[in-house]
Amino acid sequence: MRPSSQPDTMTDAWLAGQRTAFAACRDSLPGSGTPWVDALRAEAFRQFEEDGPPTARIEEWRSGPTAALTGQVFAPAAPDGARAAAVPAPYLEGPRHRLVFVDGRFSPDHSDAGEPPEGVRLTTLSALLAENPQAARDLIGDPDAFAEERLSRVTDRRPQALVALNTALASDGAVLLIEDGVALAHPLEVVHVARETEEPRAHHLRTLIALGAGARAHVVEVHAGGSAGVWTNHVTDIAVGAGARLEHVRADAGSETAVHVNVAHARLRAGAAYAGFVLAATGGAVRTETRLSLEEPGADGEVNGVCLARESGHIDALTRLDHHAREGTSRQLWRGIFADTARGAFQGRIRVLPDASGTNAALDNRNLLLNAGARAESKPELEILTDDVACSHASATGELDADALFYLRSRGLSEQLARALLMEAFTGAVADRIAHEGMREFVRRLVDDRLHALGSATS
Amino acid sequence: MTPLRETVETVERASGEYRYGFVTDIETERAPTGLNEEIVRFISAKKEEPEWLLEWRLKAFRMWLGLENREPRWANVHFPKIDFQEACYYAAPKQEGDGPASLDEVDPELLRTYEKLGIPLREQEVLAGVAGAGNVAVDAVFDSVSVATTFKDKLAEMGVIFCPISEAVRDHPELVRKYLGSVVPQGDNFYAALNSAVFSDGSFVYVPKGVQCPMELSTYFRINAQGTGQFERTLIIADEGSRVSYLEGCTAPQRDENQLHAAVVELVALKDAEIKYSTVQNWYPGDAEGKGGIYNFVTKRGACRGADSKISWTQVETGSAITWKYPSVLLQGDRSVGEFYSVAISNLRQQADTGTKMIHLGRDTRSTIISKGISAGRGQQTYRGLVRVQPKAGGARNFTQCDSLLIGDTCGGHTVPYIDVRHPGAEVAHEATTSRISDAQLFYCRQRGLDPEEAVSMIVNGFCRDVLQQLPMEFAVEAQKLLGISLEGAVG
Repeated sequence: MRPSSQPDTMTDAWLAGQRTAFAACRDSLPGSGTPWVDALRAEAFRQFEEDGPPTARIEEWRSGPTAALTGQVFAPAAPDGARAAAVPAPYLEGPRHRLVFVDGRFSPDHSDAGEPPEGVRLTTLSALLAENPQAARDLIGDPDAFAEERLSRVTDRRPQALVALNTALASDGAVLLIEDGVALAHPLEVVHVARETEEPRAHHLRTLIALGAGARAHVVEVHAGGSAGVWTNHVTDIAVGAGARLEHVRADAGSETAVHVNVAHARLRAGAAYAGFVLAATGGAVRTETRLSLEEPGADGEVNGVCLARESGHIDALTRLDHHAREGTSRQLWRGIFADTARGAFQGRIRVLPDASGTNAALDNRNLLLNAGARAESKPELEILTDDVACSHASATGELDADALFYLRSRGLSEQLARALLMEAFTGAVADRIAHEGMREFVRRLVDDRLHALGSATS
Repeated sequence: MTPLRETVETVERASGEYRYGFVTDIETERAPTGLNEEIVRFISAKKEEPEWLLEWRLKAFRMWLGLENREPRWANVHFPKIDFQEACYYAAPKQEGDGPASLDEVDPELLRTYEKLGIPLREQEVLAGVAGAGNVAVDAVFDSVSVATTFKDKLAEMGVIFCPISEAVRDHPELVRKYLGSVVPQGDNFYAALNSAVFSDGSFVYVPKGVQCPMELSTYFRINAQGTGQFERTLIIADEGSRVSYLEGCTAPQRDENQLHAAVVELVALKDAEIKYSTVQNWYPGDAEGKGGIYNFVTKRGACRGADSKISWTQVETGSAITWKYPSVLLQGDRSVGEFYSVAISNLRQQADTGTKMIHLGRDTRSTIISKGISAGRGQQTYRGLVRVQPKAGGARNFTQCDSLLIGDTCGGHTVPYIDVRHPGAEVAHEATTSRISDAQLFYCRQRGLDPEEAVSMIVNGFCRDVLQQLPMEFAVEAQKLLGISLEGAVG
């Protein structure tokens, strides 16, 4: 690695590495040979090059883990079926559909798609591109939509380079398509396993979820495995039809040393509801983005998250909720706990565009610092362009409440237990908002595990 | 008659149009248009400055050149690129001889200007007007030059120095040299560098140890000449255990062109000292189509150097086409306190990006931020603030509240706080809301016989009460009226 005093040379090397990677694997990526897919990947890569890698000079990345990302050149992992993968047991109890991806590629042996009901298409990006490129085009690739989406983000000043890179290099991902009025009764569990690696490896995953009018689904995406030197760049593209409802959990259950970027972008039609939950837990680097466009009247968005970082970990959580149409509602609840020398950043924006009168939106971010050396940054933003709204945000950062600790200790709890209890309560309020019981239980277990790691790190 | 009373009455007579838009026709002496080292030398020579200050200016000028094309672009304001070579960097009312020895020698035309503004330069008027209220000493800055300072002698008895900064350079060089640029360094940002190179005049205040300044100090700024910018520099030093309250007010003529105002204000509070700095900013905001108006790009920063010191900023921002202003406090001394109270209005096509920075460096430091933003017409209003707790600032506390009130569906209100905490023993809390005047509120007021404009004015005043209460009493009244007038035409 070059010294950080030469950031430009460093990012140049990084860019060159991505170029080499793209040239090397573009012909073996799914859909290769289909003209529009090739054209889209080429255009996306061109845009990625034009935008350049993320740097702290870009406002959305000012608190981002840019050094961890561009400090080493991650090459896309080549298909390598020879090595066995340690695939964790199912996370969700009870009936479920399960898709497993290993090193960015579908692993039929570990998956158990079950029998989705009539009107539900559960497949993978590679399969979709192999058999029906047109259907996939509507989801990821319509160049007009791509352009339109970019244009709609003019005020962000910089488009998203890593999403463009993902479009260029996506090797696989889950695809869930649900027709109008159909409910997916059992939750879908998507597991991405990254194997340990000696050399820096990148996995570019693309999940596509589209719910027709009035459809229902619950989806959990879990990242497992991994090690230092693994970079996962995961984009989930979501369309929620009129009156449809999606509950979506994204969670880190794997290595605490990997570099992880995940972006969920959801578009909501009239009366649609999206409820998202993010668990970011790391000693490495995590960047998690959730972008919601409430495009038609009466849509409802909820984006909640828990961020737990320890050692020299760095979490950067970003939300962008854009209310484009009237009578939309949204809520955001984020809790962060940071220990050791970890750094946690949260930037959440509520944007109400001129046509979105009657919007009701709220955001709440609270952070705990467990010890000296940890750092929490918070940037809750309101951007309001019409007057008939009720919007608010709140942010607070501090340490565990001394009075509450004293109370618990006076009841005979040990210092460690008292602290653990308070942290559990602090994060539990967010996890409890998950409506699906199985998903909620899973998240609570996972959060408790990670809190335990956090507690033992500091006491 | 108090300055405020008169201003208020002038304002009351107004029908919602900018009342300070007159131009005073007096001869001015101007520097050639453009900016280069020669101009900096010209300004320095005009002011008969010592060599060290010229060098200081030239250093700033070179820094500014280094920052070329590095104007801050992150603010949520939009305007065509400024050609800094088009402006004139020095304009002074032309005087014969060395300047006025007393007010009697001041150009009567100039005095009439201040009369129109409601600024009583003549002390007897002040005395006559302020029965019961505190006295106000005024330093008036006209274009680039300070034209008169009142009450100087009385203040001098207490050891308080209150004079134009150019005079302080001459009479108290050791103080100026020690503190100038110590809070806002020359290269701090693009506009601060520009100001450091070409600053013309401004106020200088020094309050000695243990002295409570007996009256409000005040500066009145006015841009008059065409094609000029105003680059004033204010430096206030409160020595140990002292206390001072300072107020600035601003107006400008109504012109179709945009004029630049790039001021720098530095405050230094030593141990146990307290500085209260209040601003009522009413520069010309431009017309309803966004033509003309002042670009108000100001760097204001205070340093709580000593333990238990306190700096409090209060601002009422109603004017200017574009405001870019973040009065900040560096909380260096243990247990020091920083406050920021702000009301900002953007109506017509005004754009305001304003807020504060509270940098907690010492232990047990506290800061409070109360910001009220009001948007109407096609105005765009942004609160942008930073609260940072550094690793050594154990026990730091911050509370921030930002509320935005929107009037009409073509305006915008934005809140962009940055919170960065690096000590676990800190408590930082921020909350913000955005709402509009509800129909129920309006209905209630109207049913009591208030017309819509009175109702809005009353509701807005209630909305801003927490901030207006912080203003010195004499100015609070003016500020309230100003709020109502700034919003005229916003409803109905």
